[in-house]
Amino acid sequence: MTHEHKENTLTIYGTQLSSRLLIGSALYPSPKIMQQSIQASGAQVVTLSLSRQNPQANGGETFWQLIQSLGLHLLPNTAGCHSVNEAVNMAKMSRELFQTDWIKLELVGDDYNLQPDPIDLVKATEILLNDGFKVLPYCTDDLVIARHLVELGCEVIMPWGSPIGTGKGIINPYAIQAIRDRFPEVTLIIDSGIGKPSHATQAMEMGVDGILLNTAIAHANQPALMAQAFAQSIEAGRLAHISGLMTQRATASPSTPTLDQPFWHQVDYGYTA
Amino acid sequence: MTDSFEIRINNLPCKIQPNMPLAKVLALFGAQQPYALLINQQFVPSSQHDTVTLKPNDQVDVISAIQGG
Repeated sequence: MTHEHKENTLTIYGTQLSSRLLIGSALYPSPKIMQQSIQASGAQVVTLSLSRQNPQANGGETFWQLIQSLGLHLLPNTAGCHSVNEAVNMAKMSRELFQTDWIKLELVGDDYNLQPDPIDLVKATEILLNDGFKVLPYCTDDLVIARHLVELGCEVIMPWGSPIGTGKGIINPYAIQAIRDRFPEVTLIIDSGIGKPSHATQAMEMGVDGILLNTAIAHANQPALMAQAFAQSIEAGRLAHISGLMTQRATASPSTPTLDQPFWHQVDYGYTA
Repeated sequence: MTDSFEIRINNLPCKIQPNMPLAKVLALFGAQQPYALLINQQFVPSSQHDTVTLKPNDQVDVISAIQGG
């Protein structure tokens, strides 16, 4: 892969995507607004999930047809799973139903903040990778857990910025930056907690490769408009990262050349009463 | 004739006849394709559906797509 190519595309297990925004399909006010928002985002990957079928509610067929009509890459999740066995079984069902070996592996470790269980996550990741899945693990921002996932063979890791649905942004920039710097070859996607476009820009400026969003778009007053805002903020952050941010300084430095200006102000360090 | 027995489909009780084909059981429930199946919390691939024999108290889960983040 050329340097330029890597700069312009998001890579998910060899699949090149021009959009760096991955979008969820939940929480929208209506199916129509969901469709409009996903299209407005420019995302090429949409997440979805599984649940028990209710034949009286059309078996979810309407939603499934709507998602298929979008023609996007599908990224099924294992939301709500609390054990390795549950997650592995859900992944296998998703692969059969959605005809994809991509799986957004979620394993809840604590219901208080829906924090991923780092130990079972690693166990389930190993099982699924060995079974041919392309695992996109939702993890905390712990560098060592990230290392375990990468060493198992994950080409993508998806740490949280903050807990799901909180909208708090990246609560530990140091931790995210450490993962980025330690594993520059891995596709790094922030999977939860992004609440506003500036959060997404911040993450992208740090060198994160992509952002997965749902609540911040779906709960906006105008979700489709917010989807556009996020798409632009992610693009802005990416361009800024590639461009190279200036170094911060502790003191002011004039941008306008002051030498030979007609009104020259000599710096006076003396004390004036 | 052997007595019918009870299983649960999506956590709802359901009486079936012994050796009733799984496809017929699911049709009685009203399952709509596409779906995936769990039997007693374990995934059963569609390639094995024709060979499944349900037993009393089995738990069948019929799973389909929903919205997700």
